[in-house]
Amino acid sequence: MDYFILLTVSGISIGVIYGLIGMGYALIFKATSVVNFAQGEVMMLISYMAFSIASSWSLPFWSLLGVCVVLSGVVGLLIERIFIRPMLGQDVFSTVMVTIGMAVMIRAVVVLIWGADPMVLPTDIGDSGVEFGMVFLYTAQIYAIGFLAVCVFGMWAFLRFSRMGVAMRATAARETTALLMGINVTRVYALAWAIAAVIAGVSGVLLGTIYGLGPDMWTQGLRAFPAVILGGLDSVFGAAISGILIGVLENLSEGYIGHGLKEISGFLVILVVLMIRPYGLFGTPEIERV
Amino acid sequence: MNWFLKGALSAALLTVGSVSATAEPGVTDDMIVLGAVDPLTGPPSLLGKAHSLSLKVWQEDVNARGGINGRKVKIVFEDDGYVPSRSLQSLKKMVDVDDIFGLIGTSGSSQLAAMMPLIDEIGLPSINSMAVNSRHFNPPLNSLFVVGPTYCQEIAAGMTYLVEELGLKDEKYAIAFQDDEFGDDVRCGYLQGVEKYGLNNVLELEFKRGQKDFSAEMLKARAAGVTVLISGGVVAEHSTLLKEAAKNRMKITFLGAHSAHLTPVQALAGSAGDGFYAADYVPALNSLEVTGVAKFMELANTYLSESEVKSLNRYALSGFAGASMFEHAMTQCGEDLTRTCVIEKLQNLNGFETDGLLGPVTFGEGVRHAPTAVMVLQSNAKDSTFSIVSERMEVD
Repeated sequence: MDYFILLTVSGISIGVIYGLIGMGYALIFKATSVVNFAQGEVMMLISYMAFSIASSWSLPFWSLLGVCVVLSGVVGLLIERIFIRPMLGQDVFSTVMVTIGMAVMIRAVVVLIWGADPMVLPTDIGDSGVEFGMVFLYTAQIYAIGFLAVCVFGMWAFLRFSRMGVAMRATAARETTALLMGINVTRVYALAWAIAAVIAGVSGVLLGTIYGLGPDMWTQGLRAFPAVILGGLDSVFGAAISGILIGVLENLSEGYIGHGLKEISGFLVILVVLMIRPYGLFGTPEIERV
Repeated sequence: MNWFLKGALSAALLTVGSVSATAEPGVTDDMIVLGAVDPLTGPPSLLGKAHSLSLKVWQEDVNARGGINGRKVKIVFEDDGYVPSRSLQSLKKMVDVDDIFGLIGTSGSSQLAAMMPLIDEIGLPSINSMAVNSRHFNPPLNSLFVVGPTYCQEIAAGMTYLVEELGLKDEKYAIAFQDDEFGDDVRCGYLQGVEKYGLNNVLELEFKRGQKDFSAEMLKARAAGVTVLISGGVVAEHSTLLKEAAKNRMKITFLGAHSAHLTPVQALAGSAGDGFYAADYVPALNSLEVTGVAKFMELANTYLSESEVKSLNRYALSGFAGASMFEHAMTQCGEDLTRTCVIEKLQNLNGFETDGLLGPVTFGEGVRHAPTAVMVLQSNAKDSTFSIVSERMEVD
């Protein structure tokens, strides 16, 4: 039983990272119908920026995170303004291709600026952690769990109660009608990209604190992709829950079966789930996938 | 007039004939041009940069000493980004455009494999002092010389140390290895050690290269009661395994191949990076008691910038040793420097010493691999150094 609990808890701790990245995918899709294939790369970019900030000024972790939140928002807005807005009115597929191009470009820029060597993200929480009985969790892992909870609740409240959140849902439901109702659709899009970048940025800082930085960090974006498919491409909440499910499933499959099943277990599950619920566990049935 | 023209023409032809008969590519009266292909960008640039910097140090040093038999050395560096097709492209460019005489930087294992047909075709004297794989010398190419043991040989020697010196015979052994050629080679050494000493192999964990999270793997190892883990991961994977073991409060002895003998491994692992072992065939950069290391560091501090010195690691020592061997062979050839002669002189190396950078190097007729002796190093994470904890061990 102890073994099962340990596998589950450690699965949750990696799953929350998948969940956070997945939320970014889902939010952008919900608002713009675009799958942003550069979500993992945005996460990597912000974590490297955090490295430069942390190396230049010895900021406490929370201050560093605060700076990164602002920075991520700006990066998200810039991406939307420079790469995505010119694509408005174009085929969704073309915009998706732009995100793929952006992903490749960000990878190259990261290597160009920071080099390809693995690096430590110097934060003051470092290797510290807390022991809960037989389970030890790094401080950054605990923060990640807390941040996911805050994000889920925050996004629910935002989409449910705020004017902008309602506008975002309206835009997601039918863009033309939203425009006719006086909603500033471009602002909605910009906000979606900014929020997604903030979530990616925070998860990048936390991931970098736990595992260090490397130019292959973006692959975590790919690993989080099954989560967002499982949850439903347009379900921000579903992505968060599914991220945890995938993390736990990966750990249990490795712990009890092994033989590389960890790598494919997430994809196996989405194959099965999509056969029964093609729109994911929490998604809306009318989704058009690309 | 007719006689004069005929005479002039004959003299000109004779001159051209004699030049083409003696001139070697990349060799002029005052210069020898050599080539080096290294991964200077991409994830393995950590290795490539250090290797190329050591060649730069060697070039400056040789030239400051007056060159080789009066000829200065010039190295043309090419970055292959660790992509085999680019390695071959770089070599073609160096052969056709830069007209190199020999190759002293051969990038990674697969990268060299991609270049081997061309090396063999033109008989280019080449020395591989960076990534050793049995494909490089089995079957041997006449002009390609490989220095250093394979990962398989390294790990097997490291396990000899664990069992014979540390007395870890009755422990529970496991291996975590990545799903590529490197991982397979490490596993080869592990299985040799297990078989040789009849060790208790309780777990073999294969993981995907680039994997970040090892929580399930290390929990599995804990459940199996593993006390000795052989790591077949490179920098980030190795350090994450160490961190996970520490996180799970596992008292475990770690042994890695020479890819673990890097300061970023210590830095990424934090306090968990203290005490692990690495099997290597070159000493640590901080082993200044070794003459070759002290000499190299002195030269590095003379010819490299402060930031370049910081980029050095164990690949700089192996690169410098390889270049020294090439220098020895070229010097032995005298003024009449030819590729054939250098190949012959390299082949004749017998117990060649590199001031302790490598164990004695020996090649021979049809022998193009010198699996130099291995030592075990231990990590001191607090001051980012490694200590030599074993004598050099000959490999099988």
